[in-house]
Amino acid sequence: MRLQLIQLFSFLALSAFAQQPQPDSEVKNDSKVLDRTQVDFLFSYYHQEGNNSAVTGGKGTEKLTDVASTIIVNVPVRSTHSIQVEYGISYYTSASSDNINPYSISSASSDNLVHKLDITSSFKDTVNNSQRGFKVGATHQNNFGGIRIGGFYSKESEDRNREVKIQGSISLDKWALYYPISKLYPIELKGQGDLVDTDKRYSYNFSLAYKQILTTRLQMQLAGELIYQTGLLSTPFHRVYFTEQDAPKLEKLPSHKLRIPLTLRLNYFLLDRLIVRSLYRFYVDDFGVRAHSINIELPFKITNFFSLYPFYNFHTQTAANYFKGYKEHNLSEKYYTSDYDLSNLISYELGGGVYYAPVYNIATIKRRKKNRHAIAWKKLELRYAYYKRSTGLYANIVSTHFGFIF
Amino acid sequence: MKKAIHATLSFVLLVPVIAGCVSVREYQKAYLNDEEMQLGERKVAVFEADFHSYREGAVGGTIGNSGSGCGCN
Repeated sequence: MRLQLIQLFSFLALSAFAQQPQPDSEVKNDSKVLDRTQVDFLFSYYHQEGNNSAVTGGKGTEKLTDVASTIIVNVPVRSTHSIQVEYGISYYTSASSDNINPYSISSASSDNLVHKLDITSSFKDTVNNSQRGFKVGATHQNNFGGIRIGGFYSKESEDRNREVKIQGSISLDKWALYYPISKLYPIELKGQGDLVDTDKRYSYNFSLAYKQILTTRLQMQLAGELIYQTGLLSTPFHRVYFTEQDAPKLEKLPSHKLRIPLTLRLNYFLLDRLIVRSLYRFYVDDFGVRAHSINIELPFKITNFFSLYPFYNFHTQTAANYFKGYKEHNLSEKYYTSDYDLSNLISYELGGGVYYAPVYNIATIKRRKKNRHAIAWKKLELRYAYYKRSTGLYANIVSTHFGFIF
Repeated sequence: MKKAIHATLSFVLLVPVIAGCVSVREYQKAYLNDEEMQLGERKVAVFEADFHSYREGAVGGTIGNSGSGCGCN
């Protein structure tokens, strides 16, 4: 059924290109092609509070602070070939993970670094209006790591009003890279032998997106994704408490999961200074989670280069079949979790941002060598969001983006 | 899962319908080429997307590399 679904989706999307191409004698706009190296610096500060930590069985603090930064360097090797290197590092402190220090049985504070690296090589075919590329990446943190490979292909119609993009990737992840996974078990469950069947997790991802210009002010994108995961899908330091006993057990979930998100984006230039950016997502998986998400963003252009935007996210989901709260599970159940991220919940997020990108740059730094371009600070974006979940969890996040051209 | 398949089919059937829309020429794309009109996530929102994928059971659909990582922080 999945294969048929993929074939049908591909056929219908590509059939849009079977139409007669519209005559269009205008010069194609290649202004988006980079001729200089672009460097983006991104920073964020995130803090959350809650009282349903899965590490302590659905009861206990979820306090977490995360500081992250990412650098994205896009180097045009030739006019049709570019390489993008993206490196991100984040540092988080989490009260709930105090008990998962693999080298200690004490409740020492646990500080964690996460590294992510992705390298993408893209080739543009200006004759066929297509683009293809491949991507390799890796993630590393003290209790989890992995590598991923992927590729994509996109094709625009002759009049550049439609585009299809196909993308696929495989991620090979492993828990506890440098020690046995049993070191990650909750303290009271250590020494009980193997509690999980594997320490690996594989994810296979296939996505298809179709972009269409509808009018001179309106464009949309339909996207669908199939994500198939196998291996250890539970977390080896999540506790679950049962009605029949006081001692916890390790969270247990099926070893296969199929996830299908479908999204529709619509962007509309409503008035001369007001834009409506919207997103709707339907999500379903075979754990029983079914979700609807809506995002609306309203950029208001104070000038052509300076805009302010408020935004609002709404999300609702049903609980996974295997979810119950603290001491609500029965020992007769095959699978069980008290992770409130998989609970029945409603969440909203409210925030705003400032975007500034003047044509003649925010600032420039001249180089000593005469034949070198000046370094130009092109973009500045600041964003703040407040997130609230019906389970009681709330969070604040501040993000910034600095864009430069070298 | 049947509902998901129905939703997927309804969704993809929209594609050929929408593809019949009028052709917009390059000189008519002043609004569409505006930076704020670009389809896709803002770069600055990438961190929020990460945390949404951890704090909610739903992920993906935004044409990224979803589905990997532990999300265990």
